Amino acid sequence: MNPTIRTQDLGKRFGQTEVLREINLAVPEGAIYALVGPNGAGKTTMIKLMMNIFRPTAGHAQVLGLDTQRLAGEVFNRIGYVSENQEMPEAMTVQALLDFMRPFYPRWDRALERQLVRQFDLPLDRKLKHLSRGMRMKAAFASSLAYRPSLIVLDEPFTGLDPLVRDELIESLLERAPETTIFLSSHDLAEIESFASHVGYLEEGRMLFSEEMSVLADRFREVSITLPAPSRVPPNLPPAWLVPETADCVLRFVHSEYRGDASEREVAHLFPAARNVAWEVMPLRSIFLAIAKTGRTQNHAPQIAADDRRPEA
Amino acid sequence: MNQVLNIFRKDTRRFWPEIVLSLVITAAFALIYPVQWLPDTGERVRELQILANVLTGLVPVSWWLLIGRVVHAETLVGDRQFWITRPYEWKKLLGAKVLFLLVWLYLPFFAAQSLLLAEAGFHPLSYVPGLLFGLLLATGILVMPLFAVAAITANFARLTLTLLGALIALLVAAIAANLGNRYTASIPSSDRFTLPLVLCLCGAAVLLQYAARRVWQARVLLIAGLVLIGAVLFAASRSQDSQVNRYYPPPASASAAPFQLRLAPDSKRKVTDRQMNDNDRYIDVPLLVSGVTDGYAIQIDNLKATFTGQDGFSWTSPWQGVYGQRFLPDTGETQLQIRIDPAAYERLLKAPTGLHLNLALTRLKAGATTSVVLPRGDVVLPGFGICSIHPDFSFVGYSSDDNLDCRFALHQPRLTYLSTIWSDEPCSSAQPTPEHAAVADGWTGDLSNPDPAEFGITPVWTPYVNFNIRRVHNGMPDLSSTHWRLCPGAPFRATQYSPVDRTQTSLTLTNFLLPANVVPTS
Repeated sequence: MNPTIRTQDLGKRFGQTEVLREINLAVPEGAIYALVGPNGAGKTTMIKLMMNIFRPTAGHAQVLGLDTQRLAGEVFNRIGYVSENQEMPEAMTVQALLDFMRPFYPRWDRALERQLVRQFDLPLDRKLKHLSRGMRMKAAFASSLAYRPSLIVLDEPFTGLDPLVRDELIESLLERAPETTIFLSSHDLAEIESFASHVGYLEEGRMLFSEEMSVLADRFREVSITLPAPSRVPPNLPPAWLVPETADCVLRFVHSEYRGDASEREVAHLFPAARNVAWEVMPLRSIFLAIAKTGRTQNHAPQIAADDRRPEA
Repeated sequence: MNQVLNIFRKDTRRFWPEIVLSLVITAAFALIYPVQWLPDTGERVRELQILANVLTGLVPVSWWLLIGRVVHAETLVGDRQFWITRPYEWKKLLGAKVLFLLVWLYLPFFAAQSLLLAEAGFHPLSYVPGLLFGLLLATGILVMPLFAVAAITANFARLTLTLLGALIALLVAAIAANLGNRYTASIPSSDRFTLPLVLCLCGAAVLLQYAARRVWQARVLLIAGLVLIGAVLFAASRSQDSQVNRYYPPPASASAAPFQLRLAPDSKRKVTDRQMNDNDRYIDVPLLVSGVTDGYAIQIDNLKATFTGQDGFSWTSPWQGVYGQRFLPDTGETQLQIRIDPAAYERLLKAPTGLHLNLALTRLKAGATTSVVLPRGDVVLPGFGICSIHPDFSFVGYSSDDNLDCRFALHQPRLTYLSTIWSDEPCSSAQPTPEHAAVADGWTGDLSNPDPAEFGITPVWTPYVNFNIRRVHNGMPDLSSTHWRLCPGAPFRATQYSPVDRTQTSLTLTNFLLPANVVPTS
């Protein structure tokens, strides 16, 4: 099956500033893909490249089988795009927006439109400029979901929304999930960890990893090694061991390439005098914190992409 | 088509206040503008004429508002617009904007122009090609530049600032082009370059934006176009001499000169000069004209003067434009005005000099003549225009442009020679006897523009028709205090002239004395 979104060495430069570089990812059909990363990581730029709002300066990307630079007109019948900072036609009422959008989409579903209006409790006679941020986002969602798009792309859709509105929007998204691929960006892990099936982590313009959530959870372990005597962090630890630290006799780190017995043998080999080694499954939040800390400690993006996962003794 | 209509309906609903404002201005302009054709009498008429002028200016302002708002409804600059990730097809979006302008700008303007033509006495159906050509000119001069600048700006404020910047740049370029260019020649070529270039550049920028939203390429294109036009105008202003020599080739032989000129030896008009400002001197040279063939006229367009002093000093002017100098077969005396550098003037003043004049001229051939007896009220002069006289108006002097008002459809009249009879008696009397009559004549119109329309918000042109006394009865008293009228029943002749060829001729005057007395004038 062809992925709904595929990028190959995608890069974007604004003048001298390289905002994105060598982004490679594949989003399978039906996935809920969350692109996470701190503010300024390049998430919005990446989404704008995918939507042909920006043109790449390196590499290329495909969306729904089309080169993104050819995305225009009719193909947007199959794409729903909502962004936190999108400029909407403020002078229109919600009803006017829906009435205006409807003829653009041959697959517009009036029943679904009515359902979304009810579900979001949208005030049809209010102008968009008079709506709250949450209501505006709901109106944007309604106008982007009512035609049952094959791909929904959301740029920081939940930023600044209260939890109730956020849950309503997530619920509406999940209702669409069986029939559509969803790609969304967020800088808040808690927003997406409950429903995303895939996750990618972007930092300083580089994709650190991009994989299924379950695979990611399997790959990371928090390791605690009890040493015979107090010690400093040993030099030349494998690069896959993130944020190593010591406290008294205990060396702790995050293993980003846990492979069961092989990893345990590797630790035993490096620390033959260890009194005890504890391996703990990590919550997603801790995984991302470890990755983020690694990036900041090293002052550049950490090298833990899938192809680089080769520990050095 | 559905998408075009959908966007058109949305824009119409959204911008109804702007549409109503534009329609009100256009309608008010069409209704009030005819007061411009009334004689300038009475406070009320003058107020309405001022209002008509204001409305004439407001029509393009309303276009600026309408075009800016409708283009920015789906702004082409930026990366946050909701519509760029919707299934808009750029051709249909552009089509919707064009449809909007056709319905809410062109159609009302066309209707207003047709109404004004009808009000002025011209049947609009007879002028449809000219009206359409006028719309094309309006497109090139106003609509397309506004559309293109709106397409490369993000909002109305930036559109306004950009337009102001462009206007200032053009003004600076025009001033720079004229700096140090004291002698302006009259070049007969009509500009066939700028309008198509503007249309092409603006059209390309608009297409580039709608098809691909290439903002910076479109901006560079427009700026390059502006610079190119400025450079061409600048180059043209700096190459006037070569242009005159190209458009006015010297005759094959001296005998081919179409008329003769010589210094008027005993004229009432003496060689005089006037100091117009600190930089220049103007010398009026009285001349006798002869040899103009029947059925033709000569129009002097430019002159070049070479003064040679007895000490060998010589000063030659560049080609300088001459305006309103036309000679008929019966023209006897005229005078040419020469602009001279003050330093050269001071040096040449001391002794008789040689003056060599090169004249660039157009030979004109008389065409159809229309003769009518002027009635009270409007008279239609086929091929010319519609004129009316003001019998209650009298004036003192040798010339007047107030006793005959003429209206012309879509453009200034072609060059036309007019003649009539003035009377120094009240208009209630019968035809004036020769003792109370003066032959007055004048020229109106121009040669340069053969197009079916000139650019204008109004389609009705009302240039001044200036008459001068040509001949009076020998026994008439002092003309300077005579009250003249143009009365109903006066004969009126209008003869159109068309250009035959352009050439040069020359005249050499020896022992020419420059006038010593400088009479300052304001």
